[in-house]
Amino acid sequence: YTESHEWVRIDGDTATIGVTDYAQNALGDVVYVEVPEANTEVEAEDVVGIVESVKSTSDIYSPLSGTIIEGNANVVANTKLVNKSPEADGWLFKIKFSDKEQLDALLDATKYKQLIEDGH
Amino acid sequence: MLRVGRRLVHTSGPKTLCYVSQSTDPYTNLAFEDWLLRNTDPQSYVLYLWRNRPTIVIGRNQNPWKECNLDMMQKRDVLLARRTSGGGAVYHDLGNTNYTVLMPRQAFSRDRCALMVAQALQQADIPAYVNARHDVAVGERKVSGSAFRLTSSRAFHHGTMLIDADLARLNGCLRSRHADAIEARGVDSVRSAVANLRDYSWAIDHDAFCTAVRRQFDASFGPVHDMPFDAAANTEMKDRIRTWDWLFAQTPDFVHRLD
Repeated sequence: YTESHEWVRIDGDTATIGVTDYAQNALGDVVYVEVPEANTEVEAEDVVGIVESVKSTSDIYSPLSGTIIEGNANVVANTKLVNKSPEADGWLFKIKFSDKEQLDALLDATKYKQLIEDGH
Repeated sequence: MLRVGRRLVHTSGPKTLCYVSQSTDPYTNLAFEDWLLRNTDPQSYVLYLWRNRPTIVIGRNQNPWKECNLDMMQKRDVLLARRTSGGGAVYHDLGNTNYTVLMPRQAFSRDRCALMVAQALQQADIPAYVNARHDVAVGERKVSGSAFRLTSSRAFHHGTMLIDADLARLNGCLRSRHADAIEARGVDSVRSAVANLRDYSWAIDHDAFCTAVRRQFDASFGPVHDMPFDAAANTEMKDRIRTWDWLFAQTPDFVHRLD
């Protein structure tokens, strides 16, 4: 998890990233999604996409450096997936990450839960 | 110093700031707003007051062909601008004053600043309130449209305020002949009946509105420090947001049926 309310699922050297249920609830009904294109090189903390909900545009960040494998075209076509299934079908993008050490900066489930309870 | 993304930002100094634009160019004003987002202390509260020469401003993810009458705009010398926040198309002229409030991300709520603006109007004897769509209204009419932008450390709420705008011109420019023939991904405007504050108060004008909002901002967030406006602060963005690429090519995918 990240402090900006994304979840990260690791599978070898690939990570799948989306926004958490807490985030989709805070965002409100999602009406528009932009995800990164395959083969884009990104650095950790780069803005890689945008979500629009209730007249608000929110930046989506990549928590890891690497190469984008795929942006989720389903979510772009059906934005409500982000609200209905934020941590499964509503994933946003997959990345082949280049720096394993960046994983250490991520929060585990307990720490993320603490973050939400502290009101961030 | 605080690390924000990969930049270092000074965190000492006053935390409640007010900037008033000296320009009526929409691209300069939008670029300055972006500059404020990126360069002021993330823990600060910033009020920015600005006005544009006649312009239609669409939301980041809208379709200009669907939202506005581009022919009429050209005939009437009305510019087109695309902002970085969400939401629908709005009309700006010198009878409309815009306010932007930037704040720390964790302090953000969609109604907080709208309520502040409504209270400022109440102080000026205008019975304003915030409606269900987070817009400021008086009676049945909307007098202000709101939109929002969120980053990891900051948020801003910006809104229009119709004081004495040319509403006839507004209607003409926001009615596209092609709206029914275009099927688009992207965000559609939600139309509402609007009114000028002038309908409710003969004393209200741009200066009175700015003074009232600044006073309410000071009351809400602490002693305000007035800061200088710099029209040249963000020329890279100013130049980028007036290009065809940003105004038109940025549009989400769409199909225009030509019958």
